[in-house]
Amino acid sequence: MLSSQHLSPEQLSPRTVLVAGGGVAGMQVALSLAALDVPVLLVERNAHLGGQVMRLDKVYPTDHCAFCPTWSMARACFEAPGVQVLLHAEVVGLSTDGDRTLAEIRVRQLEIDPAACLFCGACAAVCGKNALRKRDPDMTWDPALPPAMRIDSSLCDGCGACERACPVQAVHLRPEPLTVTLPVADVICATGFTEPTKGDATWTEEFGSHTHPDIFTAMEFEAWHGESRGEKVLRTRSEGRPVRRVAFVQCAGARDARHLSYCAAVCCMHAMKQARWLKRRQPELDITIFYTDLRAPGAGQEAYMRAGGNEGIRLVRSRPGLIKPSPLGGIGVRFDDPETGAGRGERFDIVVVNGGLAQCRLPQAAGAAEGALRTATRCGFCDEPADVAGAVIQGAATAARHVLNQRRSEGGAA
Amino acid sequence: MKPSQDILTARGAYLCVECGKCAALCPMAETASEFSRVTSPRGVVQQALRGTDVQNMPGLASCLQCGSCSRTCPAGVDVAGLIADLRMLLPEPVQLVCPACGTPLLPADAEAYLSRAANEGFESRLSYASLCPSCRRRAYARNNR
Amino acid sequence: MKVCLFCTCMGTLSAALPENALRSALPGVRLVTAKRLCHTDSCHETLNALSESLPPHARVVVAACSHGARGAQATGCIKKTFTNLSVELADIREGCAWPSAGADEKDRTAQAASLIRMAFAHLEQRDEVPPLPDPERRVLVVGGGPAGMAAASTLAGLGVPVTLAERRPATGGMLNQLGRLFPLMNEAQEVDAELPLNGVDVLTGTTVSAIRREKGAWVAGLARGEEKLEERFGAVVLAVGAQPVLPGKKFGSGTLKGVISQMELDTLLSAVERGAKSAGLLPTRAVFIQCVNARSDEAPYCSSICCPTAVKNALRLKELAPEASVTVLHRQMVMPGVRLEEMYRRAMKNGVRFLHVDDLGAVHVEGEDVVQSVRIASADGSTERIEADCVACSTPLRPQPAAARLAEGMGLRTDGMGFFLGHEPAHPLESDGEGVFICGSARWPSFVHQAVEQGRAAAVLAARFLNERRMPMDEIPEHGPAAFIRKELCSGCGRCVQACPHGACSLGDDRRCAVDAELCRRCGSCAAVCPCRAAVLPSAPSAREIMAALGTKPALQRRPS
Repeated sequence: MLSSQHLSPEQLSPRTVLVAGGGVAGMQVALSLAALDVPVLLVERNAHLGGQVMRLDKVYPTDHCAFCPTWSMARACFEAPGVQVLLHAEVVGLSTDGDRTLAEIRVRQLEIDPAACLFCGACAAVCGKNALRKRDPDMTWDPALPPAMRIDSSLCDGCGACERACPVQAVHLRPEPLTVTLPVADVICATGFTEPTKGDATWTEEFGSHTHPDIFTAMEFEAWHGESRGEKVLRTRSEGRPVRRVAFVQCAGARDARHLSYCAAVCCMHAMKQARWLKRRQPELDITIFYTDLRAPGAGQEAYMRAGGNEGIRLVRSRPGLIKPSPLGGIGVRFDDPETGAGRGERFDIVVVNGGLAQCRLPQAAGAAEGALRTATRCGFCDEPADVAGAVIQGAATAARHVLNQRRSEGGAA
Repeated sequence: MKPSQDILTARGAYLCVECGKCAALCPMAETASEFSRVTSPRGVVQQALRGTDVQNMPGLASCLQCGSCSRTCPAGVDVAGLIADLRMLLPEPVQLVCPACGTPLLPADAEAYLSRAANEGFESRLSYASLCPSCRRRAYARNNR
Repeated sequence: MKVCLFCTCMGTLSAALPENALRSALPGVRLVTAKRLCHTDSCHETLNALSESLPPHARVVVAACSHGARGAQATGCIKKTFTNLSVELADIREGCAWPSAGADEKDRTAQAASLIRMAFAHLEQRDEVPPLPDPERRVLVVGGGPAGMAAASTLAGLGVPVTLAERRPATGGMLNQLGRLFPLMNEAQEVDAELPLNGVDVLTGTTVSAIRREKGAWVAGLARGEEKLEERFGAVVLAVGAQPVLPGKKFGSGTLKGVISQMELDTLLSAVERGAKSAGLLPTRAVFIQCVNARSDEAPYCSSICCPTAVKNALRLKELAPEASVTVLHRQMVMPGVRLEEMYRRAMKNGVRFLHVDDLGAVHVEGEDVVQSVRIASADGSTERIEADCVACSTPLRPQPAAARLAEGMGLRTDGMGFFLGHEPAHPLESDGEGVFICGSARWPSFVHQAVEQGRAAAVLAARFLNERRMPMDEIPEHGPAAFIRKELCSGCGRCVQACPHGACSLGDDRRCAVDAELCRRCGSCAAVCPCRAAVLPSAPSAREIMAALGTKPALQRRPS
């Protein structure tokens, strides 16, 4: 792992490929390139590798935990000699310099540099406020992070004893973000997707996301109902009351000329996965999926969908028009009943709104001349929405194409 | 008379994936007792694509031209516009237009229909008929909050 | 010679475990201190100073922090540069110094010494492991369609010796049958040109009759006409593709003229696009019926390429004959992603009508001798009749018969339909076989672009396998070497043969058991049941190690106060 202290062009081989995004696609590109002797700089903006998949409880179609395969890929990235991982970092600009690409990277420095920290505990020994810990109780996926001491800022009084005690100067109590420009041979963008955020007005108006605690996005619901929470009974987020009825609303903000026109490809299977897990834990729950097309094209996926239908999950081919908290309690969903053709409203305790998965892109460097910028190769969800298997395949294939192109141009030059 | 290809293409009728969102939001679902799959906005689009004669499209009469369907359609079908165009094909003009700007208003049919509804006890629904489409939309939203 | 590299962790560890005390507790071991082994500079500095005095295959124990902390970095650092050394990690920080912080220093030192002795015993045991034969550095790609061509082409480009076996007289597979491909609407010939096969040993007209595992390699029986040969390969990429299901008698197919398969329509459109006279060939009123013989109880899967193919052909037909009417009857349109959804909308904008039907039983194709119309019973009770002069049925793909044959011979799992099973979702192209990868429609119905991507990906995984001798899904390196049986201790009782869930243990002619290292999955069942302690799983602590660690007295003794 790279420490922000050691970020300089001299640290990198001139053949280094920058992979922006440490999710499944990015990790697969990195591991494949490293296996083919191409040095990689893997830049990830979160504190952990694994991206969105690391935040999932389970994956389809195997219903296995998401954590294990993602974690072993993350560990492989940390341990592979050809892969340098830079966490808390974002590519903020790309420009060209001759035939090299210059990547502007902003690194959020932490009080404790996780790459430099020896995890020796010398800082904790001198801290009078017990502000230093080996484990962060708020991080469910702590094992996915490289081991480093953690500071609880609420307890820290800034005395600086830890800074002085650290044998490797890994502690900086007044961190500033750092921007560095690194020349790399190529850039592969594997920046994945984000869900709509609180500030996104179009989403909140129509689909109710972020307007009420019981209207969830897919990832929010994953965290809410997942096994890692240890809850036996599903409860509402607003009052903590036990849930009876759950609705999944598909294509909300996707396949929509006014929002995202594309299909996010994973939401149908993802909703069915969540629905089936709910049924598995609490068979008495009343679960409905409102869909337009129930897309299950991949290996084993249609069988998974059919099994869900057989388990009593109600499938309604209708796109709801309104999702709004009901004055009678719960969340009201207004939809056109496909059987009678009449408009109907039903109330649910929890509504999961699926679909607005926006592809993330890399920004161009401010002031870069049009045409002077070399477009980065895109891979994974940010190129074509795909699930885990799709991202892994895209990652390995992108690495192959990069190496073949390199060899072709080298061969041509020789 | 059957809807022409020009009308269908201009109003994006082919883009319909039959998701039902327009029907979910159509205010006539609440007010029209004979609201059904066929008379819903979705139904009108499908009938139009099928080449049904406009005289056999009951949904044309019930439309208030509030525009909710067009506004909400994810595929970009201008349902309200399609209905307005189709009404123009009817042998008897069923559309009242604003004498000043020419904006289509209520179909003459609908006014009669709403009066009937009023006699059957849906007084408040008559108030919609006296408003222009934008105000009608606002009133509907207010009443259904 | 035993060398212990004691990482002082910048002095923090040696404060709890003084160097001299540890040295006295380990007679016969050369203890060398280092400041910080996880850091490349410090690590190399220490080892370079040592390397003169180290014999070629010295056993080195790294006494430092745990594997998950910085131990992996430390051992990785050493192993990468000093490849001749046998290295083992002894965790004396998280495993000893810190938990025993309250104990007496003497006890702590004694425990650290035990852990280090245990690591040396582990190293000794590892040396007894018979070496794995080097994999044959050759890959066999079975199937010369787009997936197989992509795999072979990529491998050749990466400098890996590769043989491509294709049963037909020429490579290309579906590329020879298709014209324009979705989603980019490019020509199949362009794809062919992107997959050069120079450097590949191409064997056309060659069937792979069987593949079996033998002493670290896959032995493939290749037959070309009367000629038969057997070749050994280190890795195999299965790209045997799939075949279309025919509509059978559904919807008037076979009885009414004008009822064809989507594939036939595709061929027709390609012919016209390449210059054939369109008059009389192209339909003027086409109706496509999706999900024929698919997504049913007999075939409970979505073949994923039929919807995009129908949309592609609808677009092509509209381009060639703008006045033609095209109606697609579907149970749902599966067009996921950006490019496919865009294609779908483009078709709709071009006037292609998509009509949803819940149940194909409501669809009836009408006509006498020649198709005339399609009658659909709509959900609202009415009937719609669409005039048609052509009905194209979209049918699924199913696996080739060769797939079942190969799967059985190689011990690979397939799903209910016969498609090869990968390890979804994170290792979709890796099969159960060691060094065996699956791609293209043999794995799951794929369109050409996907098949090429999977072929390239499989090639990278195969190249990695040959270099590292392990499958990417066995990511965690501690899996280590396979179990083995010490013949001199084995009594031939056969309990390991019964216990092994992978069929890796067998009783030989010499009345001794042996483990097939390629089949061994390191579960340790054999070692657990062996009454003679002959079966050993090197990565698991054995009784011998534990005895070595304990010496003659327990490590941490509680002194009476």
